[in-house]
Amino acid sequence: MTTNARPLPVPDPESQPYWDAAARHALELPYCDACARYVFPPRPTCTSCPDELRWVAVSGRGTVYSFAVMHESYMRGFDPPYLVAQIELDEQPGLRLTTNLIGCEPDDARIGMRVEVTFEDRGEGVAVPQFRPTAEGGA
Amino acid sequence: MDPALRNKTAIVGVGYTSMERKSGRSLPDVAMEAARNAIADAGLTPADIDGYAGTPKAPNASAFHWDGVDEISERYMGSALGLNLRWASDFNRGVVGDAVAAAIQSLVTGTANYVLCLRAMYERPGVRYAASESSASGGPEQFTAPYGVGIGAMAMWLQRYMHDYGATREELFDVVSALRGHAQLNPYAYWRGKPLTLEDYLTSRWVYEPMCLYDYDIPVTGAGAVVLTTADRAKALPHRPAYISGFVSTRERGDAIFEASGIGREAVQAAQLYDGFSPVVWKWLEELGFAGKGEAHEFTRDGRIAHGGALPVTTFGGSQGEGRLHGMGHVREGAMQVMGRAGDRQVPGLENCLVALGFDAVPSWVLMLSTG
Repeated sequence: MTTNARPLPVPDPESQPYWDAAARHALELPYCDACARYVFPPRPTCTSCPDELRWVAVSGRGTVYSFAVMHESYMRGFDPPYLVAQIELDEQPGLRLTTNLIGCEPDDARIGMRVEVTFEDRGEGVAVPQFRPTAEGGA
Repeated sequence: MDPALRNKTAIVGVGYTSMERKSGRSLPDVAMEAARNAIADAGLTPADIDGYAGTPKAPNASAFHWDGVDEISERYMGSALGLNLRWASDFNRGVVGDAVAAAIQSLVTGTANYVLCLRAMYERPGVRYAASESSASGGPEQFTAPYGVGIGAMAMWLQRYMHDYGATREELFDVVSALRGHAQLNPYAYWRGKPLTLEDYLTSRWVYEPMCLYDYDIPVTGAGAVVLTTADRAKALPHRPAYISGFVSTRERGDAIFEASGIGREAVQAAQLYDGFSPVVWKWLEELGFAGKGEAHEFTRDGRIAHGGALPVTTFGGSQGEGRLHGMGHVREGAMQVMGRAGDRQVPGLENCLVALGFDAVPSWVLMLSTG
């Protein structure tokens, strides 16, 4: 199957900047200046105060918090086995994205592995952030 | 919960159907059978039922959400059974705790006197329950579906738990094995007559590794129902009432149920813990304080949660052994244990049975049932 057959995200007003950034191959997250923290998934305001959020480019680097190897083809466009993972971003403890871990054999995936963002294009104007092991490796 | 509400309401009737896969039966067919069985079991007739609380949601990715096809509403049930309802409501979360809690609340406020709670499930022939044909996903799924992540979060929780605490799949089999063993004692269980060995478990196919086929509950066509009433009315009915000694939302901390009910952890003689995924049993044992944090995988060793063990858990086989009714089996079994009607599964001398529905990612309710 082609990667274009994979499910596409449907942005909403809160998430539109996230997917717009992804389409440019940039990882940006909503940030509250007053609370000095990122909020994810995106919300209309900070979840700790009423302030507006500002979209900030993040490093795209993090560690594998956890992962699983999907062996069934429940979702269109995916050829099992493939890796799904929760990546904890370097910017903030507990700030995690669910994603695919690519460039890594299922047997080589480890909790604590250092990873960096990459982007998979899914047709015109759509890309989704994924993560791959960094050159420095380590677990 | 206000302690004044202890033992003011009770479950007085239970209804089952068989649990089938690739069944030719329709959802309304099984729903009405379970409902009628529960009403009759309570010594009542449909004319007595004046309240209804349901959780009709079909949560699977392939669901139609058609009333009377893969979901069934209070409107459908009220008309199909000819009920004279003063109050009825359906709840959007599939796990049955919301319906049971609403039934209790309606009874203590005098909104209704006899309330029917139903959960009916339909496994559509020819469709893989968890499969999604969707080409686009919005809402929370915009951050998961594009990655081929459906119900993978529990597997990632398990992976992390194994990493942090040294838990093993052999230990998780202690949970699966207890549930499958209990199903052998349950005439309605899908897996009755089909025991599972450690080898079967370790060689079964992966779904989201480290979870395999047998770490997930079994989708069925089948239904369960219970009837609740007030304590004073319950005394006039055929069975020993299973009193609601406490009910707390899972938004409260895990041990709130013991304070609410006045029944301490050490007085709990069986626990019907939700088991939609086998690691949920570990989560509940830790959340409720039966095991310390990171220690549930040790607690469940050596048959401790099997019949005859220190704390028999999910004594009917659960969603894994009996079939996926999103907690109605757990409520029904808790009531039957308290009523002393659990047959081969009866926990000797049982007076108090805890029922924990949902889990942290699927908020619901915790109940304490007792002989009062």
